[in-house]
Amino acid sequence: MTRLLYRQLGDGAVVFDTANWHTHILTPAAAVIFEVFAEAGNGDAIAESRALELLREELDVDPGSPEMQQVLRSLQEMGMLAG
Amino acid sequence: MTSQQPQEPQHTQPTRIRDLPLTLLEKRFSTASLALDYGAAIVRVRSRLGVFVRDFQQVYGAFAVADAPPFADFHTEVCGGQGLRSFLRPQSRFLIDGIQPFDPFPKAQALPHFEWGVNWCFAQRFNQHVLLHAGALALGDRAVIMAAPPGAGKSTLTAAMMLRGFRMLSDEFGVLCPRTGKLWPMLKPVALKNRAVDVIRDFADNAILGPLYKGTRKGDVAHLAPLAASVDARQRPARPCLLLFPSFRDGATLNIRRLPGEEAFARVAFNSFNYALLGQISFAAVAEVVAACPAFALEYSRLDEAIEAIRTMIAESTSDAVAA
Repeated sequence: MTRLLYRQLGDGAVVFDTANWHTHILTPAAAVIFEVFAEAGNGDAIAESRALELLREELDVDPGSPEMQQVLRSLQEMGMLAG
Repeated sequence: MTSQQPQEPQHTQPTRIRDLPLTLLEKRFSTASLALDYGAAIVRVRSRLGVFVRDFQQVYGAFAVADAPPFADFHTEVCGGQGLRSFLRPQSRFLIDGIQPFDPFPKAQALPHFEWGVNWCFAQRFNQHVLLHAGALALGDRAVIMAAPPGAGKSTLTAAMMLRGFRMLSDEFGVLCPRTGKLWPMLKPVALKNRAVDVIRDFADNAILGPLYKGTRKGDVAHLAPLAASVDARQRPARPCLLLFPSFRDGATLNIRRLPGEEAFARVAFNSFNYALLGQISFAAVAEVVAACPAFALEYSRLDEAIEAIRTMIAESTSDAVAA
């Protein structure tokens, strides 16, 4: 994801997408998830099934909750999720 | 061989606009031989409107009289209306490079027309800097950036801080250099609206206010003249050390709340004049400021109480930076 510029600010973060010049604001929870997905993808997007697995097993969160759905939509917009 | 006596360095005060006889000032305006150095930008001004020159002298009194430099960022003119209308309903027109970007104003409102015109030119064209929609003031070379939506009392607080000894960089534009991370002054008179005019008039004896323009498009407006200490330092940028989001509420007790970095970023970036235009450059510059500066929401009703709190926050941010 070299096209995404990530900057941590306190516990949260901001991301600039150099492809479309969109800026994304990440809450602390979203920032943690971004970092986990980025590490798992090693520079590439990860499959949605892998993303859900990471949320459940590594981060111990419910991917179905409205908050997580919102975070996933944001990460999808950024191209972090394949498919 | 002759020896020369060393000469004492001369510390001469600049001739200020308020020191010029009005007739001489009118002459300089009519020949466009007067340039205004705002710090970040130089604006050349031409005008033959007597009412404009008279009002201008009041609110730009502390600015130095400078001969028009070889280069100016903007070439502007404030002139009268055209045709029969100019006799029936006298008007002022604002021109930039000979083009009139706005409808005319009533002639008596030529100064606010000029002020808004210069703001417009700056916001539209000065894209070598990140233009934050914020007031900026400094103690020494450490600056506080104050961003707030219209009506939140930002201009009133900015004016009061200058009158209590802060160096004003700008009331409207936080001019952030993306290369150095410093804020440049863009020092203009503070446009006070409605109730704020009397608040500031009563706040300090050293407040120099221009005429009150009633019923402008933004309500009743009067301009607070920048003090000489700020004017004389307008070529001195300052490094941001504090981000503030002030809001005035009648009767409120002082309330200061730390804001998370990502929220501060959103409030600063998305209220900037040219964040979207500059893309990655402004993203990096704003993120750098937010990373370096603690951010607070500040609700207040008493100006002096708010100002003392801001002094303390600047001092604490300075010691934090030293400790880090």
